[in-house]
Amino acid sequence: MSIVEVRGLTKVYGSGDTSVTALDHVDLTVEEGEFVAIMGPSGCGKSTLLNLVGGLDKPTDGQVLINGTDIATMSDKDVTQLRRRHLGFVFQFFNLIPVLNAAENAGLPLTLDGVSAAEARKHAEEWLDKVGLGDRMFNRPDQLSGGQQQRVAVARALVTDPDLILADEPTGNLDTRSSEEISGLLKQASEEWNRAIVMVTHDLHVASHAQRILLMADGRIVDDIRLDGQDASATVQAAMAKAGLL
Amino acid sequence: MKVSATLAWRYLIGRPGRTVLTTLAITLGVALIFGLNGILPGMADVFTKTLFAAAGQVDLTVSSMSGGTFDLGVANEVASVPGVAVASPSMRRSVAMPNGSPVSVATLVGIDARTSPKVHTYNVSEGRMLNEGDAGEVVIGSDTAQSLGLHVGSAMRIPTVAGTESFNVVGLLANGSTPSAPEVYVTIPDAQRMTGAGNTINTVEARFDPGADRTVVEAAVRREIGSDYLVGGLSNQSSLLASLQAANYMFTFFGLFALIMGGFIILNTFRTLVAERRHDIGMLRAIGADRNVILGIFLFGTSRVGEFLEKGFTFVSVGNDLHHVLTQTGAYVNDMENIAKEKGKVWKRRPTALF
Repeated sequence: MSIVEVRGLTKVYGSGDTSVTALDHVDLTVEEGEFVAIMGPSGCGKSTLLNLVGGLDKPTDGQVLINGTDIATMSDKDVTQLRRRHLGFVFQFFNLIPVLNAAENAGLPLTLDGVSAAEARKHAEEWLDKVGLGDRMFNRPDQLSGGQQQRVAVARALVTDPDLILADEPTGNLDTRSSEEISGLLKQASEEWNRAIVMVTHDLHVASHAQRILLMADGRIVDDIRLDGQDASATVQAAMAKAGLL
Repeated sequence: MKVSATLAWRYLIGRPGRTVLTTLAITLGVALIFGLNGILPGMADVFTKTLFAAAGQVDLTVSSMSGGTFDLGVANEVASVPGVAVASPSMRRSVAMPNGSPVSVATLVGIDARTSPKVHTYNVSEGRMLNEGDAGEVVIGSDTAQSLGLHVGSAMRIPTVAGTESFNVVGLLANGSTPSAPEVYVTIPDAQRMTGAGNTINTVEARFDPGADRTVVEAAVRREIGSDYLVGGLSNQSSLLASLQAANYMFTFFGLFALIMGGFIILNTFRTLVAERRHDIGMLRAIGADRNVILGIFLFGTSRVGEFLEKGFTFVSVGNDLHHVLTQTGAYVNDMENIAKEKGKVWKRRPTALF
């Protein structure tokens, strides 16, 4: 069964003459352990698609099925629980709680799910160790570099063993070296820990870590490229040129 | 709830500057609402008393339709009417002073020493005001005393139905007399004896409860005592009443303004807190925090809000105490005078603008 199945997803902001169609009948399927990157120019609907898949926004039309369940039919409480237990989020600006340390931030989804503080901390420390922050457990975000903060965010996204990780430009605020580290981590999450990942990015090099790249323009998916070991740069550039995105 | 408390507590101790500012803003907002609204009734009451003293008016005056005297019990009937705070009986008569006196005519005012200071403001500049049980003692205006060459402790000769009697001057009033008919204050029993009025009086003066509807109370007094009496209310004193009403509107406006300002400060503080944590709220929702957790962070807790309210009630208490001091000091000063008199201690009352 697919982890994510999107059918005819449409999102229109505003109404009448001022309405803007951010997503226009998008169809998408993401399988278990699959790493999908979404690319496209600003305003093409990448982040809107991610927000709708994550249940952070409601579609104007169409369906989002997570593990076969249409999230539009779920109550707010159930969607919240779905996000807590089955989805992980990584944001461009890390979005860590500034007054909590790395271990507390990483363990926050478990704490929110009612897991005891000791248990949450144990799991958080395991994941922080896996993302290379074993020596930074008790540092607060302002005592960590951007790359380290994003690694804490990745640990936080993975701590509940979710089926799907949604990453919205996770390297958009990082230097090249940190971007490479985070991209590698996400690839590891997909390949080694079997998590499905949907990542929005503007960076072709970052996208090249994925197994599949979706090109978007004007609210539609205009190309679906499976890399399968191909040179991502040449393939994607050719596809972008074909789609008029260069 | 535990996670809300933990997060809220971390925000509180993690950002001490913000916490201090927030606490101050909320405390000031609560203080503004409760403190100012606590003190306003006292201010309004003092203002009313000051205005009455300046105008020589009371809320209500009862006299006989025929101009004669009536039973002392009428004062109790007036006092029993809802809305009447206090009713004070008095006996007023014009008295021709002895030949050769610089003051030809005076108004003899027999007062109830217990209730009269609650209706009138007597500004004693020297000596003391009359006390219950006083006999053969008199209080006069300081200008009258000057005209007659009298001072505290002097003997003042006043004509009575039984001939001229000598009274001991125990106090001088700063605002006690008018140039045309100086007022001479004695106790009611003395006045009744001096005028041969038996156990009767000819005036009842009353003060209303704060905020009482004057027209309603006046009508109730008329119903209570019947049609043989002339009831003169402040509602007939249009300019004074207009001043009082204007002042009441002003005080009400101050109260309303304080309420709005305090509310605005508190609302704005919480809005700023929410705006500052917008990203955190969005992230928390994304990783699975339900609405109650978010709400709990801001309402954590109830104990903090309780503390703010507690501080607010301290201001209520301060406002109430100040109100009490402003309105009751006159009575306490009188008590002190009585105690001083009983114990034979020297007591000198100093004039103030309030009592």
